Amino acid sequence: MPPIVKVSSVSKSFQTPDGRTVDALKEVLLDIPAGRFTTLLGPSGCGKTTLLRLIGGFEEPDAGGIFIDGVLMEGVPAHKRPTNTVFQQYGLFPHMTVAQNVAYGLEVAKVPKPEIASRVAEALELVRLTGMDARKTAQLSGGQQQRVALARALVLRPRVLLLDEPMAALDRKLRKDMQVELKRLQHDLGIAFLCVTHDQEEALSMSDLVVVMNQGRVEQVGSPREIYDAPETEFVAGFVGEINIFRGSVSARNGDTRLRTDAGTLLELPVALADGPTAVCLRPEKLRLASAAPSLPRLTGWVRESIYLGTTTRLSVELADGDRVLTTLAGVFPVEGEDISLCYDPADLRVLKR
Amino acid sequence: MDLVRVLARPHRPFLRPGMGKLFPGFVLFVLLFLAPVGIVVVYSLLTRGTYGGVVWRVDLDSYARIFGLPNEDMLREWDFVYLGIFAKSAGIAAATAFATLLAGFPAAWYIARQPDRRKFLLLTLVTLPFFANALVRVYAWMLILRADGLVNNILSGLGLIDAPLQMIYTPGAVVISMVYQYLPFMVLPLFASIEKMDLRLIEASRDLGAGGAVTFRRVVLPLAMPGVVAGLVLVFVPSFGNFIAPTLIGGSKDLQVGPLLAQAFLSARDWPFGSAVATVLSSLVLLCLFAMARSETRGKETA
Repeated sequence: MPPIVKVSSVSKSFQTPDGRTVDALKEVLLDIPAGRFTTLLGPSGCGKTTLLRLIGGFEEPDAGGIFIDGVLMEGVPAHKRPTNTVFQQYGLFPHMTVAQNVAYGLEVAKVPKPEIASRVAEALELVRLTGMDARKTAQLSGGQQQRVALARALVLRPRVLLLDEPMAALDRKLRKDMQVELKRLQHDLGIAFLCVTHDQEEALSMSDLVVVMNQGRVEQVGSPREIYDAPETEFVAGFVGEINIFRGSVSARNGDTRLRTDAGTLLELPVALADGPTAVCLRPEKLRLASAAPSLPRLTGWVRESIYLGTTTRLSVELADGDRVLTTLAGVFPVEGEDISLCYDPADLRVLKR
Repeated sequence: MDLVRVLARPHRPFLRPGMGKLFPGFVLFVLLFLAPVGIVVVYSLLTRGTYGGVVWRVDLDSYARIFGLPNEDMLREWDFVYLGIFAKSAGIAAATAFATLLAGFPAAWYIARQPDRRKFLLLTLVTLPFFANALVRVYAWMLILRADGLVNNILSGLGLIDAPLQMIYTPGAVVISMVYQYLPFMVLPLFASIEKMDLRLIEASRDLGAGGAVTFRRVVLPLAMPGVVAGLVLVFVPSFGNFIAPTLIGGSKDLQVGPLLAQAFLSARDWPFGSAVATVLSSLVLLCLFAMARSETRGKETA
């Protein structure tokens, strides 16, 4: 299937009030697949919201083009694009009721009245707000307001639904529920959802495809598992979940390949690499007690910090050569200051682009 | 549902603890505001004195004259000349209010979208006309609009007209000078409601397929409505009874309420009639304010 949105070498810069120029997007290339849940993930200022606004038509790119359904969107204003948006603070019209908010886009499009009524009712049922028609938006809770915003956008049957930090204003419990709900809606409707978030947990749990962005560029595009298990760059590795990153250089020796970190720790690599500086990463949960698997390479050191988390214990371990690693162990509870010997499977190490 | 809310509202006693502190202000208000208004109303019900002043005998003829009722004793037929003056003044005041809205809205919108520091500067500039005396401002318009004034000189200089246009001494001239005079009354409340408006609502409207005109009509205007209504009333009320502008640059054939009032007291020395005109004027203005207050509360209920 061709991508629903194609972002082709798009650049965008802004003038700050004090006269500096900030490059929000630098030649971004991206395909958003049709009918899937895609998330733009990155820290604030990475350009993800700018990209969403460019797709929605609220800004025009300085260079490059955006295609929706194969049509170049240059010069097409927001109100003529086949996209609808769920805004960060929802942007509900305070002078209208729930039903009036949802009906707005249909009325503007001059849809016949009986059809408006049935589609509004259908949309409200979809987001489980049946019976709330006559409420004022100010009388609704945050979660209900978000549902109205969703219904208002979905009732127009957009080709792409854009969601700008949809969970930012919700509390943690509600956020979990809405993640499930959004995923369900996307699955049932088959509309492409493009969601912006800075919350990596949210991105991993909701998406079919995650686009990690940093400093106006796309760092990596992949499924949540690919992003988590096989980060390609140091930024992705560090931004998504907790991780140990070892920076150093490789020296081929006696047939096997090792990385000597800048501090001096030696690590066995899964593949042969060219000599020179490189970085590898290892998830904390991939480190185990050495006694569990005597044949694997070891890292020895002492426990700097031990935090009891119920089912697991989180440790910060200082290795003999001064490197520090994080690990989570189950079933054992080492205390601070205790010597410890850990092991790892070289196959779990990921080599990062530097 | 609204009825339920009204009934459920706790009863508020008229006097509450701490209100004693309001007493001096209350006395001042009664003495300086209510008492003069009371005197005007009472005088309007009395008989005219020969050389001004009043004779303490109740006489409703002033009101009868205003409302154009016939009076056989005075050999008067039905005559709606005064109601006509009220209607014309109301028309001119309404035209002024709407013209001020048209001029003030873009200005208020622009100012509300500026950085904070520039906002303050621009708002100060908007209120600048207030620093000059009202008389001086109207005279300035005389210089601009009269037969050998600025506008006519420029137009004939450009060869666009042969004979000077008659601009001064027309209702249009009165409207223009009052628009200028009362523009701040419109810009300030408009600014207050536009500044509070969430710009993202405009984006939301665009996103839902509405073009600029529809967005303005269905989102911007309803949200700015409190400011629009306040501005219209604040301009309409003083325009209605304005004395200086119609006297100096209004035509002598188009008598308005303000000059009528002045004539009643100063030339005709008919205090009861003047007082009656003032009372009717004030009542109409009060009606306006009530209408505004009602549309305001209705707006809140639907908002």
